[in-house]
Amino acid sequence: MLAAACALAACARPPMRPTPATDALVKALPTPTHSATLKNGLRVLVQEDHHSPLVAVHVVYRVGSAHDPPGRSGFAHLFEHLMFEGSKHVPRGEFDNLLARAGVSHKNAHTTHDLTAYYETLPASQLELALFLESDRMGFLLDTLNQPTLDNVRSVVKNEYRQRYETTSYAAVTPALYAATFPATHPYHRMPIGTLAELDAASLADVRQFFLRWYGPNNATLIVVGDVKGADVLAAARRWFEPIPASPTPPEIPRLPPWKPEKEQRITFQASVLLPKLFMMWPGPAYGEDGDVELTAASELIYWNLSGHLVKKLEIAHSVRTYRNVGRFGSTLHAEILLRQGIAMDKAIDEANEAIDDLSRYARWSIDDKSVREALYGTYSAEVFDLDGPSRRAETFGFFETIAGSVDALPARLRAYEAIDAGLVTDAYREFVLRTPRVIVFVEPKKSAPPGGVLKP
Amino acid sequence: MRRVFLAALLTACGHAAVAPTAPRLDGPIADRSTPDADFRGKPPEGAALGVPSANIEERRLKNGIRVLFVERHDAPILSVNIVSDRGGDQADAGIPEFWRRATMVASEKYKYWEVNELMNGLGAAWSAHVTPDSTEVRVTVLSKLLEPTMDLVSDLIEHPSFPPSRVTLARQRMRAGLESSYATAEGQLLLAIHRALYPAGHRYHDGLVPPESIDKVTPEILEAYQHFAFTPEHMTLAVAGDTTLAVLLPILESAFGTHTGPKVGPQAPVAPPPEPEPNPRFIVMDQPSGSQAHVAAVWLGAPTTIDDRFPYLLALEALENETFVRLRVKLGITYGAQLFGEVGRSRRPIGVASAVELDRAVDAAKALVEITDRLATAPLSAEDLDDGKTALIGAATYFDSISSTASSLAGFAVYGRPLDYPKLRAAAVRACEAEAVRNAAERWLNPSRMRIIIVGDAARIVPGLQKLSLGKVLRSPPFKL
Repeated sequence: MLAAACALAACARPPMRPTPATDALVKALPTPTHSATLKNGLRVLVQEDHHSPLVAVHVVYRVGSAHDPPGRSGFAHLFEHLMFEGSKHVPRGEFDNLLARAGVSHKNAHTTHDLTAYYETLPASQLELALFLESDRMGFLLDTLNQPTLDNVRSVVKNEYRQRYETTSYAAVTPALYAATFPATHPYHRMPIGTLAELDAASLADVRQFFLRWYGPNNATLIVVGDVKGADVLAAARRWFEPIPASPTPPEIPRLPPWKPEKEQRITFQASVLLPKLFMMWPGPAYGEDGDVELTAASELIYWNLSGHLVKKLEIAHSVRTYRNVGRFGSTLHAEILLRQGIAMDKAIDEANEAIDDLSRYARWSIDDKSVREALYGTYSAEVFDLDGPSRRAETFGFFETIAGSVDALPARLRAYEAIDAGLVTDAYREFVLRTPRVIVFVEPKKSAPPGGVLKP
Repeated sequence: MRRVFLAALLTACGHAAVAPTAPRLDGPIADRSTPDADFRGKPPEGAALGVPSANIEERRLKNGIRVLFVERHDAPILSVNIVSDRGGDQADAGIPEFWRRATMVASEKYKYWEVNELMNGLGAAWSAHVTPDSTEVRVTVLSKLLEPTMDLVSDLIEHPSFPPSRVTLARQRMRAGLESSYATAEGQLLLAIHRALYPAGHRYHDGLVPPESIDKVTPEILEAYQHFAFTPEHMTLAVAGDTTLAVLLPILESAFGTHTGPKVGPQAPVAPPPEPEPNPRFIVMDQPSGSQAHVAAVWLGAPTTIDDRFPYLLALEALENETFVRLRVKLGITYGAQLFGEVGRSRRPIGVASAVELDRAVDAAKALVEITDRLATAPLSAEDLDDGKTALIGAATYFDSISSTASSLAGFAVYGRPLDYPKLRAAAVRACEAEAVRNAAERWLNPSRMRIIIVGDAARIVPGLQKLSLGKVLRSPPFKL
């Protein structure tokens, strides 16, 4: 039956598609032109790019919500905000002002489970300003940190929590998915935003210890991409950052085989939304582990199966979305199905499970080696597109350096896509989708509930 | 042959595996001290701002389609923006947005599933965009795959097909999207802004996509809109990336050079809405649930053609900056505050918006009134003016990436700008004086023509607003489909 379905799918496909030559493409990828590790352990990567008079400066710390202390969920993210509140030579409120006055075009920070990144893109002539600001908060943050600042930042973060998880439709589901999928001891059990109660519990002493433990130069990478001279950047980086003493070597979270829940879980939420929605999540292998690349291809199968069955054939869903989040300690595979009005939970779950459990039913590409590789071109290309422009490129370099261990991992990943075969994709689907119990959240509309949703009583 | 990883995984996963745990922390860590140095005493001052420039090649295909191209090899990709200077203002409300969601799915040659598969196989990223002034398809692809991608994209643009089943699906999704949007504070805010600034009967009174418009759109209407937008004399191919002109032009000529398209004349432009009356100054859209309120100060913005365009942009810059500083840094009642809206050929909503703590919504409204009063009455300080200029010039990232370069070229084409526009713009911004910025704020961001719109629990907001005595307060029920 599988073979028949594959043959039909193959025949329906129009001919074309040249294969991108990986070797030539890899040679054309931008890579750092200069790199160094400073005496205090700070890793520095520089890439000269003279297309525009701009420079992107990123500092990535190897600390995320996976490292939140027990009872202090949201700590790494709270800390991200504190880093904008001034340091010894940058009075409170001046960080943003100085950047704005310098003509910053892009600035922000983000916290994931695995890392916290700070970044700004500004005129290349202002490189020294960016290094001054980043080194001051790395070296002198604790000089000015006080209780009023912590209280103000806590208030801002709580507002972010409300905006993102209470007042945004369906948003409270995501933390529930992670909490149900991973056990309380797993680094991905909690979302980076944390909880309001635990944010309240963070003390000034906690904050100081967190900084001392995780925010040393030996736990960070500085990435500079733009209209600069590499040697000059390395010299400037030494001047601004090298005097900052290293912290004690940060402790490591041990890496273990992919987590697998014991049984399928079903959870019902209520939210003031008009349409019901079904969320499904599976845990999977960490970045670079066996099955990682194959599971990305397998997630395409889930998309086609769900879309073909629920949207096209049964017409009980408006749309389907599948994606993966891949990190150092595991990954998650998500399927989100926006259902039509009035579709009941049991019907939605039964039909979705049926579509997923029949491996080949709606797959639009046949499960042969060539088709699998072609189906991955979107992912493959997207990895290359992430190198477009100084800021995205710096972010990509930071991701690979921090999550994969080296910026050189990108070409290896492209080659892995090329090497993938149908047997491995099928095996990954069986292992990480069919044999891994899923967590299912159904959101039913209820006017009195918050838009983000709450657990159904 | 399969790899051994499965056997290993089966061993590990035959039962629930042990989860990794948080790292063991061995007692408190001693303070570390970074030695201070004189050079840290003062923020370094950078040299003069550079102005972005690029070597832009301009050509025409045989049928007159304009080609703008920047060659650059910083990544092995190409971005091609197929853009028309005909946009949403030249069609009935709702049609352009419907087109955006339904286009590029099929052609006379390829069916829906085939197109989807072909795009996947090429690994191309594409998206359709509509503004009141433009219609655009943006494509990014590995440079090696440019030719087959252009063959497919040109076929979809020149010979579009809108299968009824896909139009029906798009209609359902649009309706679901509207329903979802109406259920959110952001959606209510957007609609309230349109209701406040466009009088009843105006095509944008019910937003850019009036609910009733969704049911009227047919495949024939969508096809007609696409032909109307993508006629050669209104089209530009804005290209940037990893190829040469010698390679690019034959590919574009082959893909687009025979395109003629039906001749469709221009539509009547949108009637400009009247200036809003001074009152009601505050409009509170009642949304009893939620812990936050969404607050916006909005105006009917200026069009691109005004003679005080750059002072106006500086006034907007000051508005956003001051709002962020007041609401987030000083009051700590929001996560952020942002400018919204676009400057285009017609007058459109523009302003600043923020989600704030519900019980501080009145404080936010008061702060917005104070900020706008000050902008319209007092010139910016020399320092603030300089900062604004630097921000406006420095933040203009015309050519920072391949995709942004293609988008910049498309923008030059849509608004008829010279190809050295970044340089001219920087010079014009530098020449602005504080009094001109104040005049522009008084003219275009006048407090008497401002609406402050709040979406939140009216019972907890209206009494406080009335106590302010800063203008009439209108309480409105939430909009429903």
